[in-house]
Amino acid sequence: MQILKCGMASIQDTGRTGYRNLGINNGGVMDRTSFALCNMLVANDLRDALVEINGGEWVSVSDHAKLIVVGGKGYNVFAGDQQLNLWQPYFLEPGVRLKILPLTGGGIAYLAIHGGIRINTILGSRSTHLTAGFGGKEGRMLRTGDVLPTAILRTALAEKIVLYLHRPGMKHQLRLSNAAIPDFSRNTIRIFAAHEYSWFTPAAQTLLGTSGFELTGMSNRMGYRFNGPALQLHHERQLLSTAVLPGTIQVSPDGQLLILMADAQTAGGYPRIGQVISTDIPLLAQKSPGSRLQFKVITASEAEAVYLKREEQLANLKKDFSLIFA
Amino acid sequence: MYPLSESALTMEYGTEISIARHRELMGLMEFVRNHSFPGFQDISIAYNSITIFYDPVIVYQNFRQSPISFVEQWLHSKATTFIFDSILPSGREHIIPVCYEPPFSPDLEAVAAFHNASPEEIVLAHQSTSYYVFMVGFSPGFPYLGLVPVFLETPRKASPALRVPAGSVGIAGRQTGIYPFTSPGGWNILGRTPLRVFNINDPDLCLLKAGDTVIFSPIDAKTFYYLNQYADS
Repeated sequence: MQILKCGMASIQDTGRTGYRNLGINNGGVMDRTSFALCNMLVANDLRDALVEINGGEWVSVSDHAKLIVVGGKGYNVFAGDQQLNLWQPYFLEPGVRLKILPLTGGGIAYLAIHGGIRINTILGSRSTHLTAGFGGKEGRMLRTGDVLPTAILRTALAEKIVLYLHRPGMKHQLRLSNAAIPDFSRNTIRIFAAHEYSWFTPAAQTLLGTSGFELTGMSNRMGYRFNGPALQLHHERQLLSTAVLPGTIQVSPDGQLLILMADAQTAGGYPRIGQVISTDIPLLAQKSPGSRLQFKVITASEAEAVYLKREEQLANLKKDFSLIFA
Repeated sequence: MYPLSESALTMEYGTEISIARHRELMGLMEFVRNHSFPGFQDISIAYNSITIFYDPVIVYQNFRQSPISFVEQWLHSKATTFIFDSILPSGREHIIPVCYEPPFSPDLEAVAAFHNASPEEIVLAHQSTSYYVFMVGFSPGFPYLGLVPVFLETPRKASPALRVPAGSVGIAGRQTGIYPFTSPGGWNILGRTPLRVFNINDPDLCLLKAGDTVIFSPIDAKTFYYLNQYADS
């Protein structure tokens, strides 16, 4: 597949585990829900690599027919002149241009291709590590002219999906049901109290759960910075650097929030007031600068129950999807 | 102990920086690695904590209970039965050449002025002791080394430098460290090493790992250029 036009895009999968003691973070996709759904819709393994588009226009073309899907938030998709829906698997004929164009306030789009992007794995992942310059395509963002290796063979399930799409009148009929499409319009992000929560004044704790916080333009794959009321510590205290993760809400010395995202470093030393629940990180990832968000504090065990339920739903959805073509 | 996320649990051990305690944590970390549970993914170490990373779905499928409380109980039982002096993994010892001359030492004068000392005294103090690697973090291969002599304790820069070249050796508080990649950074830079501290093509990946010890050895600019392993600096 050749890239004819490229904005901000990179190859990502679920990232690397097992190397945190070397300072190598997990990395991987920003929005794991959209990632998993897109891979499901083109009969991929839920760990296969795809293209994450964080902004700008994408145009690509391939010499071979491809089963593709685009998911995420805030993009228009065209195959030639034909507009496609997000979350709609499509059989893309050879030579037909695929265009993915951002709307105002667009978030992140995912382009999944059956068979995944077959680029070399490094330390068990195809994710692009931008800081260290490895993984993905030469450790960098994609650019115009790049050629991405994709699979030519199809699995049995993919073959059935392609046959389904070839039935008269079915070309545009396959689409993820509305109930399964993530609701990215919600502006309340659920969090649980982090270890240094009690270091903050009662006023700060109340503000965290009641105020609005505005996502600023100082936001990227490493972290999202917010404008809001300054959250104060009881008194100045130093934290020894310790493990941090995507979703960790750090409070910088000026009292503002920085939420670590997919490419966050492995350790940090700023006091942590909360942790975004894993299930809501995709929702947060899809917010664009200027969005006004609220935080709702729940307990860690509630967060865990939400997580397990969500994973079960995704597993069931995958089963149901394959049954359509049985 | 506290949940860091739905898939990670941190255990704190002590509240201060101590090499003796850190070595005990290193031992516990190895013990955990060798006796892990279904769903275990990784364990990492920091100054006074270890963090276990796991897949909650696999833990739940195997033990049918809250993964957080399972891992808490599991780690608690391991930490209480583990005899800390039974395993003392020995780290490697490294001599790292550092050039403290300009242009590799942009903050040396400012640090000297801050301490009312001469640049020579600062350089001597920095290389006067061996350092212990407490953790690798911030970016791949970045070693957090300590402890620098009390005399050298220096706060971070008020505004971070936009470009710290790869190989730069800096100090912050009582820590010293090496930047593996050219990046922004807030530590005061005293010199630069020509050695690469992270290399994705090296089977070892990182020159320095938690538990290792480091001695800095001064070199002149000519030797720096001769030894330089960085293509871009």
